[in-house]
Amino acid sequence: MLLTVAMLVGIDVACEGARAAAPAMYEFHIRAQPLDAALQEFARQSGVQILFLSRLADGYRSAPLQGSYTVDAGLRALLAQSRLTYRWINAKTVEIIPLLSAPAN
Amino acid sequence: MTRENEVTPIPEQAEYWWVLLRDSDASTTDNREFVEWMKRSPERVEACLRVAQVHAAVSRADMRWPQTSAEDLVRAALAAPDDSVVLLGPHIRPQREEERPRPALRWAAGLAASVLIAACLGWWLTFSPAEQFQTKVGEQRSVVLADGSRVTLNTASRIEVRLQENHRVVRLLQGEALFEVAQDKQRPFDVHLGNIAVRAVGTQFNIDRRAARTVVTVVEGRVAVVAGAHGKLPVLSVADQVTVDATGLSTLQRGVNLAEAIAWTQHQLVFKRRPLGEVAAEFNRYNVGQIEIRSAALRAEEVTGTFRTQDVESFLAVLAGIPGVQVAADGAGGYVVTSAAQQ
Repeated sequence: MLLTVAMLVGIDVACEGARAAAPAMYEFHIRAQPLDAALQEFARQSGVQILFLSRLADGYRSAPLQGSYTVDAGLRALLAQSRLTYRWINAKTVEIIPLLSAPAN
Repeated sequence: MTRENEVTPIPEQAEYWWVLLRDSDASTTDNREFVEWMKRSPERVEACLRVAQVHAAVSRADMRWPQTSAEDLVRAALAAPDDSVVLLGPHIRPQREEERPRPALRWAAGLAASVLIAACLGWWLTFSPAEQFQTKVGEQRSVVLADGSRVTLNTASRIEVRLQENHRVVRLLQGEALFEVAQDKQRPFDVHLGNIAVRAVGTQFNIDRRAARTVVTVVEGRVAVVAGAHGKLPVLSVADQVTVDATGLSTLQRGVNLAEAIAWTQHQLVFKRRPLGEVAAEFNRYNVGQIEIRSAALRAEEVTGTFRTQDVESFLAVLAGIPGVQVAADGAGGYVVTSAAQQ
């Protein structure tokens, strides 16, 4: 688990240069709904591209997301009640992945 | 040239007449020759009706479209009394009685022909010239028609528009378009494609035409669809989606996600539980550089997501991050995706 967190932080830091120094805030209005639909809505409202294996989100619902968040904070909130996390692929694209199989060498 | 070529199959001859008579230069002689040709056999009448059924019938406000099938028209014609009035439309001079050939065995075919002519010919002859609009791969374009309707063309799409006094006809020749129809109850708005016809009065709908299937999605209002073997389908309303396959079979789905269906108008690909192979094919519609996924297992993986239609690089970057998956340029502007666990 520690390794997972470390890896995520590493990826985040690696992508930091590509993103703006002050992370952009977005106004989100996403109601509670199945997680896959909530993630699609998140992509629409933030302009971030998202991809994931459909079965990963099976059975999960998201809590509502209302208010001003960075993309990272928003995603963390949406995924908080799942066993999923995300990684930045490039400055505008994230992949949703299982928490336990986050990249390890 | 001869139009009495018996080697040519009758349906093709009917098509020939269809094209000829739609030409605004078609002469009175052409019209008369057509009538003579058609009167010769019930098969010819039926062939003409079949050609006309979708194209012409839906374009006449006073036809009981789409309830009237070709079979019904033929039946009605055969059952009509012998002295039925023949309405030949504005371009055809009524024939005088002594000129009219009336062999006893042919009267029924002649009457069926009259029905066809009354129903369709006027429309064929008064057709206004068509305007065409098209887009290249990756291009999108919105056109506002003279009636105020807006048609937004997706990538690699083509339409032909004819606006007339009594009806508005658009042919979707290729690709996908979103139709936002200006309300005009006196002038139905029809979209024709292959063996499918869609009619709206004031509404918004999307049609996605592919080789293997066509998808009609109602975004607003109501539309009527006539599709291949099924004939008229139940009237569709908001969030209804009908998929018609190449054989004319259709399936109806209610409550589809409309944002997803017309995401393309925002240059977005929005997909939910779609095989990766289909998603790659979607990218391929919008981009000259084509993606080829060589692993069947990978193509079958169901994915969910949202992308810009032209951001192939980011999509491939995600794939490249999957353990065992390799993405390589194919040297011709495209990409080949392979998997170590390839089958």
